[in-house]
Amino acid sequence: MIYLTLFWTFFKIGLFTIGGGYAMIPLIRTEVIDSHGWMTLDQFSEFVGIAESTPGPFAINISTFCGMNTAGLLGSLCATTGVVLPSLIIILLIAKMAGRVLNHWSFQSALKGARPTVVGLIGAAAITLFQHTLISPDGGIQTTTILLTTTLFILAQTFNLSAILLILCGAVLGLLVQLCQTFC
Amino acid sequence: MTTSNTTSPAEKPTLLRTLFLLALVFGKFGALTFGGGYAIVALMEETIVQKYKWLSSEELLNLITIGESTPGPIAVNTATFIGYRLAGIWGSLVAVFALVFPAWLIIVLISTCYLTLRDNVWVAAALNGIRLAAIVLIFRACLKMGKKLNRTPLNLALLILTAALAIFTPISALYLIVAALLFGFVWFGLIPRIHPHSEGQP
Repeated sequence: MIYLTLFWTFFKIGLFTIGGGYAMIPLIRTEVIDSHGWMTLDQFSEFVGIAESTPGPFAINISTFCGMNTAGLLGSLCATTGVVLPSLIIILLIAKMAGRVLNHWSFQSALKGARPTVVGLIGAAAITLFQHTLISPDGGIQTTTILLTTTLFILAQTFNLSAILLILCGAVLGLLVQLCQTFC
Repeated sequence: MTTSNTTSPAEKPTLLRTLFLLALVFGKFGALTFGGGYAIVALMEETIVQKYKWLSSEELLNLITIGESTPGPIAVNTATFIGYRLAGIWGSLVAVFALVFPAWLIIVLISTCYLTLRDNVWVAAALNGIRLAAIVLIFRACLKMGKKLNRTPLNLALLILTAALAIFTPISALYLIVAALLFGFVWFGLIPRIHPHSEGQP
């Protein structure tokens, strides 16, 4: 049953998203793409771009997108509910216990171990996605990809672009490349 | 942290009114904020602390720290907590629903367009560029989060080890995170408590 699987997958993702929305990216990559094959890596990068340039929390946007793409409207409901539910339950428990658990050494020390791991995982996700776009279907390396990505990175770093502006720059560059290919 | 009622005693709003306000405020957060959790946090400061005075600025900061150090999206965590403080379980349900619903609706509409338009040559070309921009975004998030880490050799080793495992092996990120949580619990928690004077762990 696809809906139940979607719900359970995103429940697990929500449960292990530590440190904000981007921590979901490596989880979605392994849980959604590798184990279920619900979408391609290319689609996933597109979703990340679109989710960042639409209003609302990134985590909700990306889950809705994945659910919608996999199993339509009901699928998006299952994925989004799944991702929200662990937070809701955990925070309600914490609120009831007046936050005592949070300061307990066992909780704090476990988190201390997870923080560098999450950063490493996000870095790895960026590298895997980049590697994937770098290699064209015929096996060669796409030089335009390297050129465009470097341009975007330098633009982002020098002007400290917001996510939406960066996505917009990406879209414009993509269109320019197509324009060159069509008319040159 | 106390769980006592924090609404101002001067005018005691009814439960229904509080729920309505919660829906309004968090609905606005869900529908109008760009750029994820932290952008919402900035807006929360403005609305929740300065306008409605539901929390003091210090309480909000505490809440955000909790939101950051518990699993789940930060915006959802904060909405749950504030809703609960103001109106109990119903408050948290209303706040989370109001936060999620507009975002869900917008994405449902956009993904419908995406699914019908993505085969168009020009849309596909723009998406090609968007994909690369998204990769840059992910990479920058990694840099930003990495800067906040303590610069210890152990942290660096953990970071590189997990990145290598994630790239070169098919092990799920989920298991890597669970392993890291267990490692942290043992290394930073248990070991200094069993041998308080060895290793010199802080």
